[in-house]
Amino acid sequence: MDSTQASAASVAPSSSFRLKGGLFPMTLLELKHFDAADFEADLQNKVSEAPAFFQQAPVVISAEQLQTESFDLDSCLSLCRQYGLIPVALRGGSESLQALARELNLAQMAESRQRGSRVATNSGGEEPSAMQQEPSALQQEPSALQQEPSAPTDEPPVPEQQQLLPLDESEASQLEVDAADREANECVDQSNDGVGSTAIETPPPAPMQSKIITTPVRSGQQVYAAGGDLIVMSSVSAGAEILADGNIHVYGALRGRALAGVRGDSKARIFCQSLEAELISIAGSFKLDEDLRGELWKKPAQASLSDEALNITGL
Amino acid sequence: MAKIIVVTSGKGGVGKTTTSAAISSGLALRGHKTAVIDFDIGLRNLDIVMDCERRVVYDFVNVINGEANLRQALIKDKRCENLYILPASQTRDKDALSQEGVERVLKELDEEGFEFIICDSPAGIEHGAFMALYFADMAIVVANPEVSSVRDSDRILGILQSKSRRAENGGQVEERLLLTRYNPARVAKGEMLGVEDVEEILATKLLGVIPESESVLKASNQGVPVIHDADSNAGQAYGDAVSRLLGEEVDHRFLSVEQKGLLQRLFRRSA
Repeated sequence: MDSTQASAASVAPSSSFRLKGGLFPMTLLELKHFDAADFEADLQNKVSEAPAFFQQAPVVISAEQLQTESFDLDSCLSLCRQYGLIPVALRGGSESLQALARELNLAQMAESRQRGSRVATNSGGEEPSAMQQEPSALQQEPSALQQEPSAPTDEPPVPEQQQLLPLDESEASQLEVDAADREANECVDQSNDGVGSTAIETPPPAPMQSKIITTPVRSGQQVYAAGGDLIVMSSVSAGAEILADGNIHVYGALRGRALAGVRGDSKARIFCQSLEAELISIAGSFKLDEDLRGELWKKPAQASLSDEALNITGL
Repeated sequence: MAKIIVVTSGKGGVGKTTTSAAISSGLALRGHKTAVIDFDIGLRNLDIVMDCERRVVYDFVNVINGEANLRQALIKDKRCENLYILPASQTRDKDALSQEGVERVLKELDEEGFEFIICDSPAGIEHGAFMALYFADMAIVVANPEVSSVRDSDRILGILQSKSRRAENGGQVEERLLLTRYNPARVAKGEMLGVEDVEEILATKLLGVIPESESVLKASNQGVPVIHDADSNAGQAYGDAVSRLLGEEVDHRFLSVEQKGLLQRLFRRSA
């Protein structure tokens, strides 16, 4: 029993816990300039707009936009805490500021890239080292990260309209996106703003927003689940169209058109209790009913994409 | 509160007006004070089917425009004590219906003590149909057992549950399916959709199945709603539908080919 054969060497030898990658939306507090009095006034203002959102909310302080070399990080942190925020990390800033951050037990976040650059392109060497410096639980075990489940890949297609942030200073941190994206080839086109804003609408653990429809989707109707899965508890009539950025589940007959992964998520799937669809599409690859009228016609089935080919299999 | 029931279908010629006439007469015959409104402005038919064409002086549009009051425009049915008809205008078009106007008329009818208000919708999904369904508490969706009619009914059900006042307020319009021109023999031969098929596609509670019958055409030409023809199976089927509308549990009839039923019918005819 005592492991002569060390368990798959990639995992840390410890058995009292498991290290896993996680992806959490976080608020980025981007400082433009720092003056304790101004900062407090602004902060108070913001917090009063959405008190629940700021309660115990982890924030990453960003000094990237800061003009000055250094600032009073200590008082910035205590003000944040005073208003219910929990500063967890510093992003950017000068050498001395970063040293100060380490002293103050703040994690160090990698600097953000050029706007519009793809996150995955930055999966180079400096990221992991930045992560490993962190004294806190933010440390990531690389191999575990590579097994990162589907969550991060589901995130990218965030509707653009959500990028209108109610709070301009806030922005999702790219905390773990970097590492996780090493595995996820699809890229996050500056989608982090969007992630942050979804978090603002529904506090912390709601990275994906599923849409649940309990009534039949009738001919001529169109239902779109932006940024998440679409679940229909009834049938989808011929002449109806259902779309989702994520997966589509139909707990009834699917007789209309179903388009999953409409923003390019090729891992999206379509599930239905009875396949009678006019059209099925995942990330742009589609099949028409004449191609679907096979063995699985009118049977429970799922559709998935592999190597650009749309596969229909039974459930 | 008066219960507002729209009789609608999307597709034309499936039996909306026949159904409106039959259901409203049926409700009135059971003692419920009922009004039936023709929303098919410009193509009015209800007054013909109910044989009150020559008694139309003022119409629905006159009431909406304030040119007549409701009592002047309502026509009392010849056969039923509790039934009143509000005819459509033949000279205007459907744009004459304003939402506020329709709402006001419905409110006045309610204040007059009507228990049921049946709105006979025009075909299509344009303004007139929209006005007819907007204030509905319940919808009787009339369909023939054929694919295009069922598809249009599906469409209208979608509109009911998204564009009606109830839907806008987060509620639901009660839906009932009425299958007309049903011919069990042709269903058995596979020439017509069966009740189960239609029910399954539309996922809507069945109010009734009206068998295809010569008596329906005869009734509408004579201006006597078919429900008064208690000998015809169509009249009986409408009677059953009215019972179900009033909450009674009644088994569906005339769904299958029954020699006995046919003989009975012939026997009754000759009698």
